[in-house]
Amino acid sequence: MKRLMILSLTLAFFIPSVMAGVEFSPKLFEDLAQSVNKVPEIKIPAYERFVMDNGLIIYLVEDHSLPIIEATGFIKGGRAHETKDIAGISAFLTDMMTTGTQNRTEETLDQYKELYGLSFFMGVKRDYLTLGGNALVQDKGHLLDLMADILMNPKFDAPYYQRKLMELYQGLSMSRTQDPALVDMIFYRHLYGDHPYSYDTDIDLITAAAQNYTPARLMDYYRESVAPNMTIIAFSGDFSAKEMKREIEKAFGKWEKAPVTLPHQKSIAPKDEYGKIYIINKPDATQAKFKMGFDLFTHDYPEDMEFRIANMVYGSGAFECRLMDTLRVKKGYAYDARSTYNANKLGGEYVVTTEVKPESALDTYETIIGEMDKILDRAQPITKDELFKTVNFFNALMPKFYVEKINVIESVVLSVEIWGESADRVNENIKRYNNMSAEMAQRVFEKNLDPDRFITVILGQKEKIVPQFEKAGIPVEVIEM
Amino acid sequence: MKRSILTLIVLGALVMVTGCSMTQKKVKPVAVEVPEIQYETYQLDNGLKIYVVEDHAVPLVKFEIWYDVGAIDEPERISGISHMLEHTMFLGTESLGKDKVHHLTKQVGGWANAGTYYDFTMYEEELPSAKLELAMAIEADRMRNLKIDPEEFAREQQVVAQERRMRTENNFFMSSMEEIQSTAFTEHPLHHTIIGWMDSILGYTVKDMRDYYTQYYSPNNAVMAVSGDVKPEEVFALAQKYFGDYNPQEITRLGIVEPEQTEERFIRIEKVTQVPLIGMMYKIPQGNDPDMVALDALSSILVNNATSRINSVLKNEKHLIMQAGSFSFDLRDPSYLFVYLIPMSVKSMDTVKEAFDAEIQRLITEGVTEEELAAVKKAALKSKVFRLKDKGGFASQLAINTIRFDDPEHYKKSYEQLEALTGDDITAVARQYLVPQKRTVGYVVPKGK
Repeated sequence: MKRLMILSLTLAFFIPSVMAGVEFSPKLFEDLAQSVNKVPEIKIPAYERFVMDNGLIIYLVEDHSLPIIEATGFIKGGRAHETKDIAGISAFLTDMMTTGTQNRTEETLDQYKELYGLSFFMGVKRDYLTLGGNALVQDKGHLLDLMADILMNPKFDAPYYQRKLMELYQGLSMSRTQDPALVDMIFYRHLYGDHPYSYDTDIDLITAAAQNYTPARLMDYYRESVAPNMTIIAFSGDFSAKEMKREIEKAFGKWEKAPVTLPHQKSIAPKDEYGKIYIINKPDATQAKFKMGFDLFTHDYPEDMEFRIANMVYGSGAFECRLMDTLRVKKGYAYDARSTYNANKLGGEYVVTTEVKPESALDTYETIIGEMDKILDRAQPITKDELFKTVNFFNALMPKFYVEKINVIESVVLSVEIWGESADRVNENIKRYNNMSAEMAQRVFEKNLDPDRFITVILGQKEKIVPQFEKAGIPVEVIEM
Repeated sequence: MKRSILTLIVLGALVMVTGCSMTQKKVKPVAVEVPEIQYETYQLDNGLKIYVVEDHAVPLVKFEIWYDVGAIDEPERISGISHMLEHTMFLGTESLGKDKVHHLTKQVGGWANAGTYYDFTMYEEELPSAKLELAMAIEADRMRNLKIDPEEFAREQQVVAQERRMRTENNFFMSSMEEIQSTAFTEHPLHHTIIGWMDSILGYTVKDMRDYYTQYYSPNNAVMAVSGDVKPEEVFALAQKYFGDYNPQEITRLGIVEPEQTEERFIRIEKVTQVPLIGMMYKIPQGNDPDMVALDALSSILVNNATSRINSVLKNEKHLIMQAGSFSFDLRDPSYLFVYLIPMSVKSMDTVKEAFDAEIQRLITEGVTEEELAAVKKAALKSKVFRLKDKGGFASQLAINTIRFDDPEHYKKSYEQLEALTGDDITAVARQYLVPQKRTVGYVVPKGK
């Protein structure tokens, strides 16, 4: 384990030449910080893709570095499948599916997972459901058995159904006092309106809709949204692909194909909401919690990568971005401030978030808009230096996220099967941002952002926040909670 | 990865559930090959300990400096000052301007961060491995040459105050836990949480900060952990170059011992919440006490596992609670195991507490089942293998074990203890530690109810 003695001998010869103390100076640091990183290339591991007779798509990647197996997967459709009367049902569906099956009670399923060290989860995204699992490779047969049972044999009229429903109501009730949940509900309700993308954060809507989550309705929803011909699963691990293929066909072969159609209703730009400010009055709040944003492009937008780089400069580059530099470093208002975006299949969103003391609410609002304006009106456009640092940063750190084969194959599956892109999308993106100019970043930022469209939600004590806006002549609407 | 194989027997796999029929039958234990991560170590004459874990998968290096100081070293008046010092360390030195740490690391394609805990403070940079010297220079400079500008310091106090509002005051769970903790610990600095009281945060002076920094930031009170695409010889040589001429200093600590708790304490807390919460804080020993492994197993079997006694009986069978969980600390000082239960209603809080106590008694009386013990060991083995994916995490573990217990390979002892763990060991710690006279109970109820 330790090679201390050998190293000590080595160092005895090596160290004397560098024994002297160091004179620290700004120049020393600037000299040490000169670096232009190589443009990385992500190695896509060899993988096998096959489609089963029932339409289930499987990706296999052998990885013999550790005695483990990992799975990641997607079921197309996601939350966008929901209708208003069953808003939020996707999350309840996956919760029920992973609690028990027609073959295993809640207790036996949990016991099985714990005795064999099996992990399995399902999640809900706007355009797809996610699934994932892992185990030691010696238990791979059990992992496949578990996954197949959960995906193929759901049981909704189970003894735990009423308890799960009660837990859901309790959870919703708890959310009514949680700042992030309240802010999300109001923000997404105004951003997406009646589109299913707004449902999962709407506490009122889900509370009303949950009474419709009957076992029969759950089974109907399962049949409409979960099917092998909508599902893609990737496995990576210490196995032989040939043998694994045989085991997978055996485990999932009886899963029947179903006529599932994908959601297609696009979200509509909330033009009548643009510029509105909602203050959620929460008398016990000790801070002002901000969420500001507007509708943005969908996932097929051709300049998505360019926009991502530009947004790093404004608000998603941690301490280096302009929002943090102003709101935290210069003004000391916020612990964190950031801008993010989601480009979904049926509509996208651009969002700025931060939390500050209530007395700083108006200045924070104006700073968020002001910093964006400085870029858009070219008073302080995106500079070559900012672009270089962002690109240099991406070039250095990008390979880290693709060290593990399961992460690379997940990225391939998402690109190819969900978004209809090339399997080498990650390397195409690397080329794109390395060929960008500051002017391109500036242009794509100008094309997509407009502070007049900001829909603003601020949660806090209205007595401390509203007067600041009134004094500045900015109308606000107060929502009492 | 080199496979210097450590073969373990999976004692957990004693029961197999076959197919969908749920027939249970005994099976033979299964052997698993668990590779070990190699590391190298060195110590400078001034006491700075260095650990290096090579990982050449990508051309990056993770550089960490861990200081043996945290919230449990703070007198009440300056509670949270370790965390405030962590923030102050980014305000710069004469050579490193304010926030230059972030600017310089970003400039080369990396990032910098820091974290404060009850018994350590940690600074880290991840950057291209060719820029290792930059990280080394940054941490060496700010280990000794911190500049504390009064104006900048005051501004940063506001940032930390905002962090407290965000993370503690506006979070009913965290703020409730803080109250329960301060009731449970009356003398020891665990009376306060890591972020400290608001009065303290706004009250630190520049002198307080300077004194605290000078007292604890020295090479003999620090550990360096480096992982990534580097050679150990290169790391050791750079450490000698940048830290070699720093002198060690005497480290003095508060040495406050919490008086033994002899009776149950109770606190009722009103919060703006729709659901109630019961928090129970049990006193437990320091992190390297041999009982800690059994206490962890007890937490899993009693509360945390999906099949735990509390989930099976209080949640699934009796529908008394919505959720339960527990966690403990393995600090260099004795600390606590925290159990939280979310009852279905305020009215049922006493019933829930009684039912919880009854389950502890049942566990002590009836003992732990073979399946429960097997599940704990299986989870530990799996965690051990999956942790090997993160070599940087392994380097951090070496540093933490050194800081806390002066034993980088403390994890090996824990694994050995776990392999030998019996049901009787678990009931013994339940009997010793999970008793009312060693706990503080908090009832968190909706305001006005």
